[in-house]
Amino acid sequence: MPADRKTSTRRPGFTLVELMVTVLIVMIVTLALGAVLAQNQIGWNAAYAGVNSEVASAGAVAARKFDAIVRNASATGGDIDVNGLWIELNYYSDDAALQPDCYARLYTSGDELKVEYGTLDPRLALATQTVCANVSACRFQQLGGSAQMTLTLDDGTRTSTTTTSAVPHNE
Amino acid sequence: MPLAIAAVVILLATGVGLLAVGFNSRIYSIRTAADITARCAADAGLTMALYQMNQKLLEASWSNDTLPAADDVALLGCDATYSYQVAFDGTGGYTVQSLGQSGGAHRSVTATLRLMSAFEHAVLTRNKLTLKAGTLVDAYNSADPSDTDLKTSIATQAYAAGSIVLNNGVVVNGDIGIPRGGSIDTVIKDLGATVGHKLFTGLTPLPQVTAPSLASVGSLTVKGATTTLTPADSGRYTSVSLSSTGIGKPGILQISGGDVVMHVTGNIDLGNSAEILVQNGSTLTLYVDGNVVSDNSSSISHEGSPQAPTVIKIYATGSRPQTLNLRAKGNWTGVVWGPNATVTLRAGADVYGAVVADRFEFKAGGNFHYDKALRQADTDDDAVTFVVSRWSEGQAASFE
Repeated sequence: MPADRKTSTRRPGFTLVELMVTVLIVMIVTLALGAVLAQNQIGWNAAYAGVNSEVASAGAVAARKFDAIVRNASATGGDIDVNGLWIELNYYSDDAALQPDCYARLYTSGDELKVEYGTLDPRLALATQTVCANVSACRFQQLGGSAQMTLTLDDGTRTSTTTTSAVPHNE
Repeated sequence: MPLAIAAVVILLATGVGLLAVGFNSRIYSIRTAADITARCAADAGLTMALYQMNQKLLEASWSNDTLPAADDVALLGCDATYSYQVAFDGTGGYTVQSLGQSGGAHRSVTATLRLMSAFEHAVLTRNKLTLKAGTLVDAYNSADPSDTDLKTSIATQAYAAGSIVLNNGVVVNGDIGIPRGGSIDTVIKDLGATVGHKLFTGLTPLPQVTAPSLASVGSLTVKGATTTLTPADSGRYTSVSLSSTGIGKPGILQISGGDVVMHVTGNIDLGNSAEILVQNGSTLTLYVDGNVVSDNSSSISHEGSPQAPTVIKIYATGSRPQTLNLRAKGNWTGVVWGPNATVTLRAGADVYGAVVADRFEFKAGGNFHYDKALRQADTDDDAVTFVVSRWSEGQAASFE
């Protein structure tokens, strides 16, 4: 009888050790899930930024602008900086022009890529447009008959490098 | 349990977001790729139209009735197609419209073609071009004496350093051209010349000229005598040799009575004081497969006005590199087409004409005068090509 009384007086529950092990397991699982979620967030941000970031979009716009200028340019004339800091292409103002009579000059000023349009004779700048900002590096090259631009944009949080080349199609 | 559900929900949301970004990126890239492919297809259509126009030039006679056109030609290696159509504008020009299509993207390019003469520059070389000290290169216009814009140009298609050598005192009344991609300061070795602009020029095609089919005549040897060729003597010669006798009487070949065409499959040897003389009212068109060797005091010349360079036309038609050593006792009059030939030109006085060569060295005692009338081209001329004069592109378009 004394033994039966002793058994019946025990209360159900966890021991301290069991509780600590459980808490530890929950903490490990929570940390693991947190790490996975954080990595997912980083990946998502990177993927989103790769497509939709300001520098990526600006790079694509600059590449299209460069393509349009070069493809419509004349194969005759123009100039390029020996260090590739600027490029100038000549083009015809209209179909009646017998010679290329206008120019488009791409160059960087500060952290902006700009294009200047003007007439050749007399040499007169008519308009300047800013193609994009956040330029950290820009280099122009001429390879064979083509012109190439390698543009790196950096807004402090993202970096995007765009390389494009095109061939002047007008005589 | 709630923690696990929350984690799953968050992961699902992140996954869906990533899929959405990926899907949008994919759509964007497909559209961009289709756009670029359509543009390439339109460019390919224009290239094909230009090629066919130049192939058409090789036909015996030109006709504007059957100009190149094609519909829905597959562009190799992709799903794009192109269509093109060439139209004669009625004033000597041709317009090409080319449409490219890939997926849902359409692009069109429109170009105006012009017939480019073989002699657009005073001198054009594939490689080296050397002008001796003090040479003046200028232009005149035999077709329009009232023309006051008398500028010309010299150019090379080489990128190597020193491809154009302008010695001290050279004056070029016009521009010096080098191919885009070269360095103007490196390619042009300027030792004190006065020139217009140094600029980039497009790489113009330099087609191989094929001699016309002529009756075989054999070899022509003239020693210490004068032989006259008339149009009836036009033909294919295995060689031409003019030499003097022991007492110094030179061999002379006179071209008389009209237009004489000779295809020399071997060498032309002009011995001491030998002479090819084109008489007034006649012309000589010479297709040479071999070399032209000119000894001292030999000469190829024209009796009439020197300002008519088309009276003597020399085409280097050999399949291997050639050497054309040309001389004139007085003025040199003539045009030389030899994109694979090393041409050296010596004259006692001025030179009137134009030269296309692999390498060219000007050693005349006088100056070089380019005739702007040489820029007029006809579909029947040798070495003419169609080139794109004006070009523009747009979005979708149709032939209708």
